[in-house]
Amino acid sequence: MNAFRAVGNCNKAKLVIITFFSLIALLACGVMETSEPNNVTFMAGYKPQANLPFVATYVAQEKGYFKEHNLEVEILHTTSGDNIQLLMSGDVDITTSDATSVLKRRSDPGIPITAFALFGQKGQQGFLSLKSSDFNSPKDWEGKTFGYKFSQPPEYLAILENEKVDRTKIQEVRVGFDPRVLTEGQVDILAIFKSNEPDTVRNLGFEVDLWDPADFDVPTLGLTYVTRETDIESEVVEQFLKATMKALEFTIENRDEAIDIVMKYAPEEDRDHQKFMLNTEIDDAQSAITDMNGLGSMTSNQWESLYGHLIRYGALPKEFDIKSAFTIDVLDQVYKGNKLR
Amino acid sequence: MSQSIKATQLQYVYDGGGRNLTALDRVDLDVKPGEFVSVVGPSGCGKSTLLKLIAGLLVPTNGSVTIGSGPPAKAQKLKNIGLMFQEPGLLPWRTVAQNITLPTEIAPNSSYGNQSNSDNTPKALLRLIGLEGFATYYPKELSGGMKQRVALARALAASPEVLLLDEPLAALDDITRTSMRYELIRICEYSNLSVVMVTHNLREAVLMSDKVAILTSRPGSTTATVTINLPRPRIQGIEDTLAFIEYEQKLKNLLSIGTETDIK
Amino acid sequence: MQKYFVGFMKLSSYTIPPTLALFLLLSIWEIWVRAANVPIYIFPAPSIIFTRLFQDMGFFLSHGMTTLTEALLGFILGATIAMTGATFMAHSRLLERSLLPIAVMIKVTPIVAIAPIFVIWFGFGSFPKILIASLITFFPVLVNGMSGLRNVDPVVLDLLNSLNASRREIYFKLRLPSSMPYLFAAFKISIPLSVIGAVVGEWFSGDRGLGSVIIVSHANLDMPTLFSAIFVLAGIGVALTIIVFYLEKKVLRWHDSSVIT
Repeated sequence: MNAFRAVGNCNKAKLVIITFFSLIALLACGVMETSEPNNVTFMAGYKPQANLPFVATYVAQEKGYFKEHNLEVEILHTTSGDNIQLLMSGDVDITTSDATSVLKRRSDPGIPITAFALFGQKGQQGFLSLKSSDFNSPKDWEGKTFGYKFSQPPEYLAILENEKVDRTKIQEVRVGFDPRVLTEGQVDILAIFKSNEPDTVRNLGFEVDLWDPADFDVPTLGLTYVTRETDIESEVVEQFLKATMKALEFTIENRDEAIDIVMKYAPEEDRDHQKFMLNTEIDDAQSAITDMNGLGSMTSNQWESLYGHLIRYGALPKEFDIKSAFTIDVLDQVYKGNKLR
Repeated sequence: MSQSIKATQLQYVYDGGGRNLTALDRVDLDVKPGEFVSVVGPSGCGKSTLLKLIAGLLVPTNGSVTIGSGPPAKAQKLKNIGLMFQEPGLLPWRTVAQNITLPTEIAPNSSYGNQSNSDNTPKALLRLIGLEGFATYYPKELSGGMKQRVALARALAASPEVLLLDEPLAALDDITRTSMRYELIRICEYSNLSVVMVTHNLREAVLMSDKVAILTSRPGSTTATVTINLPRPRIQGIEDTLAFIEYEQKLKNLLSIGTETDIK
Repeated sequence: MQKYFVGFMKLSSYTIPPTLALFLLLSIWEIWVRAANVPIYIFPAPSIIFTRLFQDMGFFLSHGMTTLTEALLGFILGATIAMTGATFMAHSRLLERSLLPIAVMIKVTPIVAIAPIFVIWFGFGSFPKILIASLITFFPVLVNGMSGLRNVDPVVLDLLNSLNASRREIYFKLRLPSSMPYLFAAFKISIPLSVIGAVVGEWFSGDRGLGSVIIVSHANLDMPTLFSAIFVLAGIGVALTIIVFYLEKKVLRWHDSSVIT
């Protein structure tokens, strides 16, 4: 009986010692991990404002989610559209880009970027006309003037085809970025961002009609997070997505606080306009897909539809294999079902 | 036909924005038709101002100046004034001939009828100043002395009645200056104009003039007039005569500076 | 015969050195891009740019003509208005005091602020670009014109006044010719600026002109096209400058200190 008890005591001691050192080891590991946060440079593809992918990073920064996920994130902005080039040169690690641009860049000149999260289940592009023009359908655009920013958007071409509008009867002009060309009557229909110009034009005192390509069976997708194809499997990207998706959830539940945070990054902007932008984009960020798989999700089907649409309307210079233009893998790491891991 | 020039109790005050500077104070000058009168005096005594008043480029504050029977303005309109400065002031984009004819291009004032003098032809003038064959040259191709001669020809182009010269030879080197003096004498004696010449150089004044008026320092006023009774035409060698030297001395004394001929 | 030979040698001495220097520069660029494996969408090699340029010569020349025309028309418009203004302002200090501050305000306002407004007022065609080019031309010509008209030989001015010359005669015989060196100095500044003005105007709207090509190709990250457009612009700038220098030499033959390059 004594020997038995002696062995028990020995084992107990061993257990205590082992547990003690394991704890120390774990602690040490933990300390090592948290003492070396990963540096990430994120560049928003435009000036500071309430675009959803931008907001996710602002909120993640301010609420400490990046820190939680062991990231030291520097948030930059650009207005000259050079974020993709900076991504490729290594000055930036993660940036935003709309899905169409991702496909365009991969098509020609073949820039190896990959999208790993989707914010706009519907594209941002839309078309605006004044209520006073009294257009009932795109067919009424015949004989009028259409203004675009760089080149005729494929959504426009698709609508014309789907609605059987005679394109030769429309005068098309490049008009730049000032929506006043619409209010001053220089153009009758203007290509715009749904989350932006409608509000601006209404604030000028004009009632508008908004034409959403999605209403005309045109497949469109909105903004994505992108990184270099070679870095898509890195730990940093995964942690980044985790932090920003958490921030996205928070944003949707706490819109006012999110706007407060946006105003910190964009003090010059009009608060009501930012609110409009945020609400519009949150609406477009949610769909049956995100309900099932979580915010930011996307499917190959979506990308293939978009690709087919762009090829059809000559918006892509070359055909190519879109497999590496996007990936769902990072999302799979971040979500289980539609819950964050 | 040359005209007389008369300045009576001429006064000129510069209005320098609050600071008034009396340049001339009671200057009298009497130039008979065809006379050559020099005006000498120390620097800053207002000699140039006097010339500008005679030319009608400035308006006297007090007193009067006439050319012939009327004010300088009338003489201007009749193009009766020939003007020459220390700087030749040729237009660099015009040839010698074109520079000379500049005064004749200015339209005469029609209110005086068709009284325009028959202008001297450029050819004749070039011959007069000894620059025949230089008609198509540009000023930048000429020496200083040549440019001054062109300026002289220009001054004579509209057949003026009076000639006003403001230190015309001062910018020339000694050798050119000496030869130009005799040129000028020759031309003035030949054309029989009334001449007022401002100069620093007493020897020059004695050599070229019939009368020398002396102006005191600022504010300038005429203190004396010396008549030069030397024979005409004035030729080389006259500067060595006793009479000449006496006149020069007299002027020096009147100016109370007993040093060099040239007053700085 | 000998005259032509001398002329040829002189021309060569002016054109060969810069051409060689340019060639050297382009070679270094080409070698570096290849060696460092710079991607085409960041910084293309000159060989690729020239290929693109020559493949589509008609395209670039056509847009180049548009920009050039807008620039020249703008320059002529701006220079004419400026010279007229300079004439009036040179004769009236009151006018100068009233209008010069306004001219300065126009000068310091950045084009990028004005251009969109012009688009709204004047539409998407060439006119707003011509207007911008003329605005840019205006100030240097105005200021230099005024200087030149005022900075006349006082001797000649006195001479003309002693002949009762009218203001008009003085202007045409003395002031205007005197202002030529000053004007040419202003032209050398304004002509390249007017090209820039036309290009900036084209950024904001319209489908014509090299500025338009630059903006659209940039949006497509089509660097070879973008650089081709820039090369064509550079060529236009050089050609215009050479023409101005040549004209200056001819017109100002009499001027001692004209810089001949």
